[in-house]
Amino acid sequence: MDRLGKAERDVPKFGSRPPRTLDQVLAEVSQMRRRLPDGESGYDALADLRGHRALRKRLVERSPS
Amino acid sequence: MRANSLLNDLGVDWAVAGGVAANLYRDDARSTGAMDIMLVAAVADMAHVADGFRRNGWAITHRPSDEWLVRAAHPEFGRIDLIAAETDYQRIAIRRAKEATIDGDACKVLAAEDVIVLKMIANRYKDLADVESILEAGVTLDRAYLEDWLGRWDVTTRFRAIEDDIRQRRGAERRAELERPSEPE
Repeated sequence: MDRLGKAERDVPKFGSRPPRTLDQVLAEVSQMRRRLPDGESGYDALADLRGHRALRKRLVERSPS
Repeated sequence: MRANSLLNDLGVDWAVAGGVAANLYRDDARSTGAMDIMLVAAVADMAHVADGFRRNGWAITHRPSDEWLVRAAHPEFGRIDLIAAETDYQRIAIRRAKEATIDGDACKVLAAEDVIVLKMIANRYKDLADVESILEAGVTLDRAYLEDWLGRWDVTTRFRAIEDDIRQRRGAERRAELERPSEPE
């Protein structure tokens, strides 16, 4: 196979991913969580809340008029 | 009752946001914790929303006194963060959200441009990684709308840095590929 052929085979094409549905996204995420060891959800509720607070502060304080 | 059916019954305008929305457009899905839902709701409406969830089997696990967020959990449907849209921009983003379904029930998901703008404003590592992955996926974007809001929020420079990184990486990958010896036929 020539170089171009190899490149086409091995490297994912830019924008080649088929669109997902929301149901597929939720199923994928649920599968990822199941793969984690018992008791490890990978979810940090406080960190998540801090992220929401920080975004809210920026949105409210810097909202363009 | 599922969150999307419940929100539709409560009559509020809403859209899936955050990591789940990003996953819809990302090149590769990433793990997320709670599902973030942005809703057009005043403070009084947030109380109404929280009551609606509680009445339908959801536990309200966090509700700050200024009512901008309701965090709820359900044994079957998981965790969600309901976030009030407090700015004109968020309300615009909800209005232009894309139609989708969850288990056959209608819902809306923020458009890719608005996911990117909000991620650029949030500016955590995982937000920037989401933007990078969405750009890598080659999602068709309304560039005029995107550039307009990136500019209004003053995050254009940050966004350009991600675009430049992708461009440089693709250039390096292409050069490495061309320099690799070809396999014998």
